[in-house]
Amino acid sequence: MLELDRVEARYGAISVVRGVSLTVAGGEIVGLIGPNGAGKTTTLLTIMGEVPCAGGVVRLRGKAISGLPTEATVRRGIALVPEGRHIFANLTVAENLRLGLAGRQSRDGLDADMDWIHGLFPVVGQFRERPAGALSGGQQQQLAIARAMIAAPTVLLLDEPSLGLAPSVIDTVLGALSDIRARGVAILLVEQRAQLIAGFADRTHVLSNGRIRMSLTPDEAQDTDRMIAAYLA
Amino acid sequence: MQTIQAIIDAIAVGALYALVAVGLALVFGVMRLINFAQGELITAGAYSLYLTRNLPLVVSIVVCFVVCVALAVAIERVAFRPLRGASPATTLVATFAVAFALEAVWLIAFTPQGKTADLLSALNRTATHGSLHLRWVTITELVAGVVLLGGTVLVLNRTTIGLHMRAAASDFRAARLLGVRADRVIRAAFAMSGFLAAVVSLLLTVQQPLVTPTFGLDVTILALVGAVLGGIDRLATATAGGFLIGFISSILGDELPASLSNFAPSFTFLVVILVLLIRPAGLLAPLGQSGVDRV
Ligand SMILES: Nc1ncnc2c1ncn2[C@@H]1O[C@H](COP(=O)(O)OP(=O)(O)O)[C@@H](O)[C@H]1O
Ligand SMILES: [Mg+2]
Repeated sequence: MLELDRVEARYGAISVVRGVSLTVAGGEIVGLIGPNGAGKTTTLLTIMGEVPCAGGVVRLRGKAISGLPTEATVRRGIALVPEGRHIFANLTVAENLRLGLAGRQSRDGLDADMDWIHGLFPVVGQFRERPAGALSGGQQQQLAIARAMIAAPTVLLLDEPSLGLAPSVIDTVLGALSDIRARGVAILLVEQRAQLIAGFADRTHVLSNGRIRMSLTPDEAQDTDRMIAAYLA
Repeated sequence: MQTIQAIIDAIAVGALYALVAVGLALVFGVMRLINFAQGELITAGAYSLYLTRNLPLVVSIVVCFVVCVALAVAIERVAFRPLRGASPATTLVATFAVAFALEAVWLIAFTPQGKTADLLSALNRTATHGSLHLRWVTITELVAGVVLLGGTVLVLNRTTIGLHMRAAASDFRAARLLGVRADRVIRAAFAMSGFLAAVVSLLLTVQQPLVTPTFGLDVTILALVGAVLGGIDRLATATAGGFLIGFISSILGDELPASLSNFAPSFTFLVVILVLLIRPAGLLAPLGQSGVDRV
């Protein structure tokens, strides 16, 4: 579904993503982990077209999409749940959700999707008319994912969705991701902490200094922390 | 009665300035740009009224709206879109450049001598109620102010483009990452500001039928001062600021002796500097907000 082929990105003269290749098929969760500053966020922003792709190519269903503006990328079916959630605090929960429609290609099946999303994240329906800024961090994260799913994406990118959340809330969020995967969505999940997604993702790539240093199967990933510590040392 | 009359007149002038301030705030909201060229839209509308003075009134009015909206959209497309992402200083200089360029066009096309656009002068007639003498233009300004402010709020709160504009005003990048189209949102803001400028042109030519190349600039500068004093990053505070400055200048214009009212602009700007030193986010901004630095 989503394919990165030796993708590069830089800020000015500084090369931040240096030839990253990976694929995510529909119904798969692929993990991307690595230390702070490794280039994880930049990789996701490059997929979105928000940071220019300086080398290599991003493909969606076999078609090159690198070079498209962000708005067009979203409409092609890639949604990003950004780092720090970026909820519109002064808009209501319902308005935040409606913004997700901006990236949706057609209204077909919208009612059914809405029902499904409300089932997945009941808080979103419960607090419809509240300002989104009044929600807790975990509720905001659920709103951010719900908002991304309104666009009916075929690829979902998540940037550290667990950041700052209590363990029980993280379980809720990861549980929802399983449901989303079951719908056939391709999920690329960025996290800093390996243990969160080890065993959960179908594959986990370790990014450091802009390069993928190793790729782990779920079994290997059980022992990730030690391996990464050894590798990065 | 005379006081009431002065207050009603001042409210009407305030409404006019509020409309100018709304136009400025709409563009500022989505672009973080103070559009000095806004005044030229008003001037353009006024000259279009002069040029179409021999056509039926309805046609003149429609042409005025078309000119203002089209010019607003064209300015965005030609001057500001290529600069998107440039530093705020660059875009600010660009708005000055556009304003000066258009002013030069007015000078060449229409000469510094005023042209008369008095199509709506019938509105200068007074309606008398008891001892109250209201000019129709005053009433029209009040109605236009209420209707257009209400309309703007409705567009922002009840339509999809309005929702996108509000989202873009608070976090443009996050909005774009959701698929909100930057071009459309910005064009909508400029088109709305052009529409408001057309209304201001129509009303202003009633009071001041002599159109000169700086026709729109003077109102816009004062409205801008009001909007910044109120807090230009919020529609409500910018509008209130614009209203207040119009209201106050109308009252002062009535009350001050001529020798003092010549200095009114200097005093106004002195007050602006003082206020901005003390409350950079604007007089009406919520406490604890430190300034407009969300660029
Ligand atoms: N907008 C930017 N301009 C310049 N450098 C940036 C920018 N964003 C990130 N960087 C740098 O790029 C590197 C990778 O950042 P990022 O992709 O955010 O890493 P991660 O998400 O893995 O923590 C870091 O060294 C960071 O300082
Ligand atoms: Mg990051």
